[in-house]
Order: sequence, then C-alpha cells, then structure tokens
Amino acid sequence: MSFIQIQNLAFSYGGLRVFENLSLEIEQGRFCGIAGPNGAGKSTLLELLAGHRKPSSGKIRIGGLSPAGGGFKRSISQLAAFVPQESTPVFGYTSYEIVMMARYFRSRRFFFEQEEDRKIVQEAMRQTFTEDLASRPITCLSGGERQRVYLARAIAQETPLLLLDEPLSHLDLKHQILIYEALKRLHREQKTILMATHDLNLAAQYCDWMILMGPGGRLFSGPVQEILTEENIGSIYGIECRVYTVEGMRFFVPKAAEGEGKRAEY
Amino acid sequence: MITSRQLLKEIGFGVGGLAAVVLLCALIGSEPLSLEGIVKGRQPDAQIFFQVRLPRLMLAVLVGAALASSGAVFQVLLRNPLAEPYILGISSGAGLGVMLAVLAGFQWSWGELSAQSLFAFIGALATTALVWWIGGFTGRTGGPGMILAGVVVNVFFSAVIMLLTALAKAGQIQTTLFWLMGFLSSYTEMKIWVVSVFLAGAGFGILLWLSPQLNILSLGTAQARSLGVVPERLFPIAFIAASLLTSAAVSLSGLIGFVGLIVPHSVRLIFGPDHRRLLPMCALFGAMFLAIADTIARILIPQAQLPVGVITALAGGPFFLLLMIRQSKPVYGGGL
Repeated sequence: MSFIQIQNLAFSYGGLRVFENLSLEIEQGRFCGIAGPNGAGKSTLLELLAGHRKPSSGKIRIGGLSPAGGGFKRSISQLAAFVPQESTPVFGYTSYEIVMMARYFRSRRFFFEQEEDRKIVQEAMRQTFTEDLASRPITCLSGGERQRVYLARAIAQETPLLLLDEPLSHLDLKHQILIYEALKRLHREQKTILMATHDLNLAAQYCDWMILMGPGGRLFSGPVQEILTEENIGSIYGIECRVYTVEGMRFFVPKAAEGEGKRAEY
Repeated sequence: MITSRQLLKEIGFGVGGLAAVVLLCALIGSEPLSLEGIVKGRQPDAQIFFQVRLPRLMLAVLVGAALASSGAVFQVLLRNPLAEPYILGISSGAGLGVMLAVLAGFQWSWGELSAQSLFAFIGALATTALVWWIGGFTGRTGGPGMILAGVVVNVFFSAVIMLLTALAKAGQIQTTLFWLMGFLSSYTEMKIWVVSVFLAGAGFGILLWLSPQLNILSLGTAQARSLGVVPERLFPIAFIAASLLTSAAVSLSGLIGFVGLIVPHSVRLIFGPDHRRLLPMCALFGAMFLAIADTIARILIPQAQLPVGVITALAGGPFFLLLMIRQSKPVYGGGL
C-alpha cells in the first residue's frame, strides 16, 4: 500500500471546482516536486494533505490515516510537517522560539523545553543556515530568511512527511541550492517530501518524482524523467518548451506559444 | 528560551515589586500614614491602613491582574494586538447588566452577593457569547471579524445604557454612573472576594496551563493545526477562561478600560511574546498599574471620589492611538 493515497478526491472553493476526480498514489521515501500554472491547485492539494481543508468528497490516506478525520486531528502533527507559502507573523517571537514550537506536541508536552528538544532545534537550524537568526524576531526577517526558519521548524518536527508550499520562492540562488542539498539529505533518510515549486530546472535535478498539475484537473504523475518532457510541460502550461541537456543535467527553456506571444504584445 | 528557574526568579522579583508598590500606595494619600505607626498598631493609622486602603489596593491588584492577563489572551486568540475586554464589548455588556439591575430596583442579595455584581457577571458572559456568535458569521480566528463584532456590540450596548440613563431617575443614576466609569471600593464583602478570587484564579490557571499552545496558535490556525494544536478545541476553552477572568474583574470594579491593552503591550516589549512568561508578568504589572492608577485617582482630587477608570482611560486613549499609528506603518518584512 502506498504511503499517500488519494482516491476520487473532489474539492471546491465556493462554486469554484479545483479538483473533481483526483486519484494519486505516492510511495514512501519519494522526493516529489509539484508544478503547474497558478490556480491549478498545488497549494490546495498540500493543504488537503495537511488537513487544513476538508475534501468535498473522496478519500485521502497518509500512512493509512485520514488527515481531516476525527481522532486524527492531533496526530497529523506526528505525521506531516507543513511549510506555508506565505505567513504574516503578528507577534515577534524569535526564530528560535518559532522552531521550538515544533517540539511541544512532538515531545511529551513539557511546559519547559527539554535538553533533547534544544539539540534537535539547534540541528534543524544548522541545516537551514538559520543559527545566526536564532535570537532575531520573526517579524524583522526578510521573506527568504523567514522561509528558512519555517523549514527548520518542519525539520525539527521530525515527521516522516514534509509538505512544502514553494518554500524556496524568496530564497537567493545560493540558499536555494543549499536548501535543496539539505532536502536531499532528508530524502536519503527515507523522508517523503512533497514540494510545490515553479523552478522545473532545480526540480529536475533533485526530485525523483514529479506531479504536473494543469487547470481542469489534468494531472501527470510519475518518475521525473518521464514527466518533465517537452510535450507534457507544453500542454500543462500552454507554452512551447525546449529541453536541453548540459553536463548530464536537463534544462527547460520556455517560449511563448504561437498566438500567446502576439496576445502579450497588445 | 525560558527555563523554570529563570521564570520563577522573574516572578519572584515581580511579586516583590508589587508588594513594594502596594505598600507605598497605601502609605500616601490625604492622610499620610507612617509605617512605624501601623506596625505599632497606633490609631487611626492602623485602621485606615488595614480597613480602608489595603482592601481597596487588594481589589486593584486582583482587577488589574485579571484585566491585563485576559487582554493578552484576547490579543493572541484574535491575532489582533488591539483586542481587549473593553473594546470587545464585554465590559459594556456587564455595564448594561448592572444598569438593568438598578433600574429594575433589585435590592435583594443572595448571601452577600448583590444583584448588581451578579448581573454584571451575567452581562459580561452573555456579551461574550453574543460577540462569539456574531463572530461566527464574520470569521472568528484571524482577520478582524471578532473585533468588529465586539465594536458593534460595544457601540450598541453603550447606546442602550445612555438611553436607560436618560429614562432613569436622578437618584438611581448616581451609583450606576460611578460604576460605568469604573471604581474600586474599600468595602467589598468577603463572599464576593472568595467567589471572584476563585473565578479569576481558575481562569488564569487554565490559561497558564494552555500557554505553550497559545504560543503556537499565534501563528494562525493552519500552522497551529500542523504543529498539533486543535484550534476548534483550544479556542473556545481559552476564550471562556479569558471571559471568566474579565467577568470576575468587571463585576468587582465596573468598566475600567485600556488596562488590558496598555499592560500586555508594554510587557511584550520588555519580556517578549512567550505566553508562559507573558501571562504571569501581565498579571503582576497589571496589578501594579491599577494600584498606582487608583492611588493617583485617590489623591488627585481628595474631596471628590474620582473613578479610577478616568485615569486609565486618560492614559489609554493616547496609548491606543500611538499603537494604531505604529500598527498601520508598514513594518520591514511585511509584519502587521
């Protein structure tokens, strides 16, 4: 049985249908990229998996359990860590305190942090290069710094599944690569990682599985080499795409489709 | 980072500071008292100290602590730094309760629990429920829904109170008017004390126990859920506990505004937003703040009894304005 199972999933915002009949399976230990145009439902899929939203119909199972189900409410935090696309902090907790929040329900709910929790938090912050930010309030960090702090929190939660919603969108080039390397290490430790991203080039280098989502519930899911092809990318995004191979790495160069370019000129 | 030893040390210092403030406040006034005279039991010093000033200061301590710590909790629950019992309409609901009790001519008391404080308590709780119910339509957590619900209820109840004031006879109004401005009396019955201390203590205890979860909830319901908090369980429990705290305070003292706003913000600036430390510190500093404010009210115009609510509102109005200006400025990194 697959680690993540989605069967006949339907979901809509008010009258807007996002998914109608989505079925998907992902094995444990995959590093899975999720790409697709805006509004295709990448974030919604991650939020459904995290139990933030309830499906209109259909079934979601993570390790045999349902994220939105009754008795599962608390244990979702033992199973899946979530990094939001964007988040506006109201109070100025330090980065260290933010990362430490991962430990309360993970350990035995001590009123005060234990030595073990401190070690885990420090290690998670080391992996995401946020040690220097430890004492800075989260409200005074830049977007990219904040994303790395949230990623550290997800790592400190020590869950088998990481749900990452464009965690690198505000990161500079160097930190993008460094964070990808950190994720690759977690991947080697048999963690399952689902990550929404717009960067196909980096996804092709690091992910071993890929989900391409298009409008109207169109979906390709499979090994990254089979999914990221000129035809698939072209049809999902409605563009033309060329794939080049440089030093064994594949690169995707987008071009406006015939007609689309003309429309943009007006 | 916070350790039990450090927290206990800070609380110890706070309690010491509070004791010093209370003692100092009790000694000054229209009749200056000497510490020596009190210790030796000289009259009337000892009598004024123990029977007039100390009870009133203890009331200030209890009410200040309750209002400040419940304010801090409302702020995190609604993720809005402007939330406060007074602004949420809870206080005016209690005021309406008292007004109705007075106008209906309820003179009875149950044990020593007067109709007025009972109605204040019921009014506060009922208004909380009303704001909660209205908030259900506008969105409870995050966003301005609950605050707006509170503002609407507050304005409406204030209008009803004014209407009733216009209809009431002059003699009836006197007590209510004082109550509406918030005042601390030296003569609180023992049973009311016991009930209030119990309610406030229970509310505070629950909130302190929940404080690690309140920290997590401050990130918003979605993230909190992923970190293990069950918002639909935590939110009502914390809301009811904070309402108990507020109701206990309001039924004792009437409408003392802005304590729940000024104190949590100042304490957060000094000690940070961690609720394990924030709540005890808010209680201690809220107690000190109200003790000092009441002493100022007492000595400012010695002949007339100036309600302490006037002092806190005079301090709170400009503070609120400053906060609003600061909040509406864009902060680096896109904070609120």
